[in-house]
Amino acid sequence: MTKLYLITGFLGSGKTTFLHKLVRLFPDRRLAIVVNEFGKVGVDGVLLSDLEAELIEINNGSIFCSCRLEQFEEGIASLLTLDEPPELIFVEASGLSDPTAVRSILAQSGKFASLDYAGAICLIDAARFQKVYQTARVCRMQLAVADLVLINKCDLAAPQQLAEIRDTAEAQKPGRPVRETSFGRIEREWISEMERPLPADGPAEIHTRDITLQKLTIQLSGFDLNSVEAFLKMFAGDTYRVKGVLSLPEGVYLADCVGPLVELRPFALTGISPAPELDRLTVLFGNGLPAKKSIRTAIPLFPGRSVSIL
Amino acid sequence: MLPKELLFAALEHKSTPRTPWIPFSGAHSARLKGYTATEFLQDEDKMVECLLEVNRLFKPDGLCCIFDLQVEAEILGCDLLWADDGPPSVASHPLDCDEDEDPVVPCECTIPSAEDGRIPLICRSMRRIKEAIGDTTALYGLITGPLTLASHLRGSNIFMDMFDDDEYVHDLLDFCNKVAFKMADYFIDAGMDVIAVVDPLISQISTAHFEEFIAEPFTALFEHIKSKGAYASFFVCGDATRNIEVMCKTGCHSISVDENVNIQTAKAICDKYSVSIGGNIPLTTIMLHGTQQDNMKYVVDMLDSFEDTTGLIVATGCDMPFGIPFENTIGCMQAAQHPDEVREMIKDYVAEDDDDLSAVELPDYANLKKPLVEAFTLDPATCAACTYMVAAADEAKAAFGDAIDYNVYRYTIKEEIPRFKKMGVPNLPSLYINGELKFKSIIPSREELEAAIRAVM
Repeated sequence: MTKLYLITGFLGSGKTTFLHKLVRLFPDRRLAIVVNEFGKVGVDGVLLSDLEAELIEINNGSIFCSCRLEQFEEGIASLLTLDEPPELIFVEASGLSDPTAVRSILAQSGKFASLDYAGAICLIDAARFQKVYQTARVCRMQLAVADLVLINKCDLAAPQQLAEIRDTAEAQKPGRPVRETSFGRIEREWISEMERPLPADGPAEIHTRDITLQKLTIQLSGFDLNSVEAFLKMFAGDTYRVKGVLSLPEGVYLADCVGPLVELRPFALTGISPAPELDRLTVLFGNGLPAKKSIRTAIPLFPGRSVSIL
Repeated sequence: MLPKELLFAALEHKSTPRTPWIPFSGAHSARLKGYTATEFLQDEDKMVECLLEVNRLFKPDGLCCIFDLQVEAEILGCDLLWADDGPPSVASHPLDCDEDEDPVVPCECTIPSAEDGRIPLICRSMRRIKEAIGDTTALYGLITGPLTLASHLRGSNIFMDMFDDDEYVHDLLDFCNKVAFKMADYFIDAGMDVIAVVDPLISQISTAHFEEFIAEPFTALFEHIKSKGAYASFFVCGDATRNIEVMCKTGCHSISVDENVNIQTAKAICDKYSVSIGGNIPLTTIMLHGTQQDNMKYVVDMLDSFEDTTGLIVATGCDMPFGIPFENTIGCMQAAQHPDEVREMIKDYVAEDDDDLSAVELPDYANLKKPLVEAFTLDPATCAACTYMVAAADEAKAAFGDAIDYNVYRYTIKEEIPRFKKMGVPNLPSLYINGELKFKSIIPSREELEAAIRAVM
């Protein structure tokens, strides 16, 4: 049997970093990773390509939406029919995905007979949780399906915030394991705390859609490190996430913004295949966040540089 | 002829031995078994139990399995306000945004699947009802019309968009129509014989806007429903008189109207297109507040007002208010199914008019200190047209603040009916400014309403 773990968490909760740490817990096992991103430009796949694992990337939509579901099912089926199928599959769902259908998808009779769904781990960005929980409907759904809640980035949050998150998680599903961590640190015993998921008893939260989620891609040229940071700071606060790899005069950088926190760090392209598309940023937002307007307002403030919204 | 065969014949505009009868018992069904509307709408067993009781007690030729225009909206992210005595109402609009923001057209991947929201529960109930009574009673599945769904998602901005951003309205209606296609599919698969597309807001737009935005999606939707072997019905509430002809041209089998429409006039138009018409027993004055004889008399008088009843369906004007006394609906049923006996029973009956209009004190409209906006509604919590008329007035109140006075009246509250009569309110919903009727059954855009208020300042 192949065990499948779902890793969920809103944009910027630290899923990709966590996955690196998680994979290291199983050095002697055959692993596969399915990574899913909402944007057209996949970045997480690039970041995960150094891991010793079979990698499947599904971009430009959620694997739980009808638009990408078939690709997801085909991906899982292809892994299960390998000569040596993986012992563990980790599925990193898009931060904007609503994973409530995961059990019914994986339990389809006869489709994935050799698959054992072991449960969902939901990562939470401790400092931003209350805000995104209020505004993004999918955040509620991700927490609802979780069998283990990992409150990540605890170093950035106050004790009161952590207590509130615990209360919210406990109220939603009493008795479920909740752990606090930072930098995506995970211990093997936490995984074993996850009980085998049982069918929901009592009326489950009904399945709804978030029609406000939007993504756009912007193409940049003529920026240097300082100006691109200034540019990103002008609108990142009006987004859930901005991500992409930029070729700047100072070198290649990974732009990775979570809400208003802008991060640019050097990025090595060597050995990464296929090479990511450069100078394109995926911008994810929704629920009334005025991202487009903020980007349009920012563009004229950077004369001599070119920004096109694709 | 089985009851459902009778109804199908009427839907095909063929003559029938008697006129078929449909009580649109939505949340009201809950009351038959002592449940709240919320319990009924959220519990499969209770839903089935109540609907079977509707079938037993009211002997409909067609049974309405679900009348809740918030099912799709709930899935698509509208917060709902649940009530004990009526369907839920929409409390938030996910696509509402500031004027200087680009409005969002939802991704097609958010179109509800058969597993979303309350769809599984509703479809399971429908299958059980089909199994129990589907051989004799025709079954109606009601879905939310694209304009009403667009209003739920976008809020009252949609009425402004129709003037300012027609491309967006087309795109949003296209999305909402795709939702309607899917909902029709789910309900037809669950055994519904008739899909009724319920779009109360059709009465609140002009014929020009109907032709620009509505005609094409509805025509495609009805074509789709018919191609799947079901009958297609077009439901509207409010004064849709001006739009009856364009509604007929969308290719539906039937149109259903409430008391705001003169059914004799409407039937004459429908007959030209061989479209049948259902209606229009008044929901509040007759069904909610009247006596059993009032109900019998209304139905008999309506039947007698037609030379030819081919293509006529006796029906309640719209979704029945929760508190209607059961005997009133039974009175309507008796009159529809046994008109000759009932005509004899009520031949000497004269309805009492016990409303004392002298007790109603109207404002001194000629000497108001500041503009007074008054919304006369059926009930903003349950009537979508009223909801959005009141939303428009609420926005104006928010914009003008203390510079204007503002009141909302509800026809479902018996004590308020004399005020409607004294004011001579012709249709619901209507907006009055300083005692003058300014917007009758047409929801004004923000600019129009604010201009009308400024004109009396």
